[in-house]
Amino acid sequence: MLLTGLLSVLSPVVLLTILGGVVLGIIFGSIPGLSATMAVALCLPISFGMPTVQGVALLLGLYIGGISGGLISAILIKIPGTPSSVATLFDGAPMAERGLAGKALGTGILFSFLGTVFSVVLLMFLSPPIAKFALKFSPYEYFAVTVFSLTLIASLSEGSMLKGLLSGCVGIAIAMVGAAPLDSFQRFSYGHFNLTLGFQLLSVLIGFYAIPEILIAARDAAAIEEKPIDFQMKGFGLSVKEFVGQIPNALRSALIGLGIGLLPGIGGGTSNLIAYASAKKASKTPEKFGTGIIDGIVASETSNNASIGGALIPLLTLGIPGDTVTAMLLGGLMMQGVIPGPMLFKNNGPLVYSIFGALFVASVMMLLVEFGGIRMFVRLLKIPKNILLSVVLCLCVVGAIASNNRLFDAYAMIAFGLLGYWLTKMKFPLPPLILGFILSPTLETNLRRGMQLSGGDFIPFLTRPISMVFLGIAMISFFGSIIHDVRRTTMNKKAQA
Amino acid sequence: MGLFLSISWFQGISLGMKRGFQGTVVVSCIQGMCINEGVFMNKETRNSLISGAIFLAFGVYLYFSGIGFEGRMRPPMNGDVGPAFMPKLIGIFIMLLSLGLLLSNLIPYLMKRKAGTYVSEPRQKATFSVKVILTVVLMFLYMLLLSPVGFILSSIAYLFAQMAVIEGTLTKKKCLVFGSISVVSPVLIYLVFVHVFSLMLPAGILG
Repeated sequence: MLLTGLLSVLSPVVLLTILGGVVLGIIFGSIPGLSATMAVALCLPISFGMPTVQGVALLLGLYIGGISGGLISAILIKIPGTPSSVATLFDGAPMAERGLAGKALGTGILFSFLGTVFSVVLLMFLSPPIAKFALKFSPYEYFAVTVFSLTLIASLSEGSMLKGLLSGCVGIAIAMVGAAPLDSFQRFSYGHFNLTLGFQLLSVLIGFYAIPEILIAARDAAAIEEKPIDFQMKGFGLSVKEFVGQIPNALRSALIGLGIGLLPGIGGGTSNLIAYASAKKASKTPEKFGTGIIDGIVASETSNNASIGGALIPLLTLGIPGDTVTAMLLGGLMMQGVIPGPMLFKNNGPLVYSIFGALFVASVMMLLVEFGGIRMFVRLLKIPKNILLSVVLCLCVVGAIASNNRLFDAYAMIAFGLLGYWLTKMKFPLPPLILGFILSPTLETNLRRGMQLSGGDFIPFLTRPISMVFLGIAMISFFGSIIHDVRRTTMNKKAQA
Repeated sequence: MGLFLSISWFQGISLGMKRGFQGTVVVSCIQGMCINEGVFMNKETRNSLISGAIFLAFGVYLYFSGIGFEGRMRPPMNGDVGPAFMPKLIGIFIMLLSLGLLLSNLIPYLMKRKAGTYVSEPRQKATFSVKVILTVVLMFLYMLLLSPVGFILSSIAYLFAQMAVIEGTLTKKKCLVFGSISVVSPVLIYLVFVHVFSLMLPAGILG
């Protein structure tokens, strides 16, 4: 069964399909404004016409390429291609500015690969027990995990923690526009038709990252200078010693990615930020984070790719999609006559192994394609910023319109861009805002569901074991960060005096 | 109440943009403090105070919007906290945090002023980059033209203008480079997305 499944992936047609999917996925992932979700959505009709294994392999290739491709633009042009690569830019962009773009890309690509493989292997062997564990999650646990994720805002706030927390709250507030969860009560829409749908993650993310980049390029136009580009790289650009030093970090990040990926509603977009924050907390030299060290890239890229395997576990074993991409994958599988769920492993054994095989092949191809392309990608830096960013804006507009087929999202994108520019100028960190925006609906939905479940009692949130542990860690990490921050500011003041 | 506050909030921001943030009372107080008696607040403090005041107003707006929702919505059932709960909660958080931001900057400043140890910053003129404003104008023009004129033509116009604005000076060679890029890329993007991926992009007058 295992062999038949795996062998069906190795036919030349399927291999070529996966390659095509991976390349297209990387292109969509790396262009700001186009996302993995969009790549899968656009190729869904194409996959219907293919034989089952080939169709599923195409979609998986797109998924893996799309999640990983975001690192290219995050590192090279400081605009995350997908929400999954927001944290990659914290250290990737400074490295590229120092002329280490090649090393940053190489590290990101290598650990993307390792993260995917790690999660696929666990998916292969541990799917059923892990899925059983995930089923134990009731609204109480979801609420606790979301609160825990939000407390990491504190450690993502560079400089002022108050500003970081404010920024996170603003992100939560922006997500409230439109229909409320559960009862679709209209909030902040003021009868405006377009506002009733709320804001799209894409226009928020691209708005906050791409537009300010263009405005900053316009502001500093005179100061733009040629940057040195690092082409002397051996292997992946990092030494064996550096690689070994990153293993604990990578392992932690992979587990975080897998765990977060498991939970529907919280996927790669969140896991990269959480892994980054945890790596920073665990590091002996947290102050170096954000200045361009590989630890940050390793944490972010390992975890966002590990989320792929994580997200596929509930999809395949329970038929529950965790995010928009997996929802689309579910659609693709069902159109092929494959019904994910507990029976899938029994009824479609060989196909399950084909899926594992396709995932594995796709990650190897992602590694080869991206690694082979590094020299080409780095050349992006040679294009003058005014040309590159203007064309990028055009593509962002296309992406914003395409995500919901309305012009409103493009307007919203520009409005968020102006807000982002102002916030950056006032020294407010943006990552907490993105995290707040992503998690806001999950937080509110599960709080309200939990309260309904308990009949208006908050106690179960605190007494259920898993929920209690997460809320406990959340409290410790939050107050720990505050104490750390206060100590640092007083020390700075003493140093100044 | 919520609507009124929202209007006053937006007015505050728009007025603030025009006249150096004199929109709300708090902001104008800060404005007064920033420049009185020839002592100029350092930029960091001033920015924190201005943004703190704006966020305070935003928090109040969120909170009262939440109260406004309570009037419109059905009473929550089965222990549900209802759709007004989160806006109110986040509103309170934002108010507390922004008060914290305001006070943590204001108190040291006032103490230093009182003790006379405050080192005044040299007065800096508010710098507005013409290029930034032009870029913003261009983006909005682009959006406005997108639907009636169509993606290809409006993108060509936007791309060329945007590249030229950031570049500043135009030589003949640059004109040629910018011109060819701004014609080729929108056409390519349009062809790929409309014909390969069957996406809908505004076709406008060419359609």
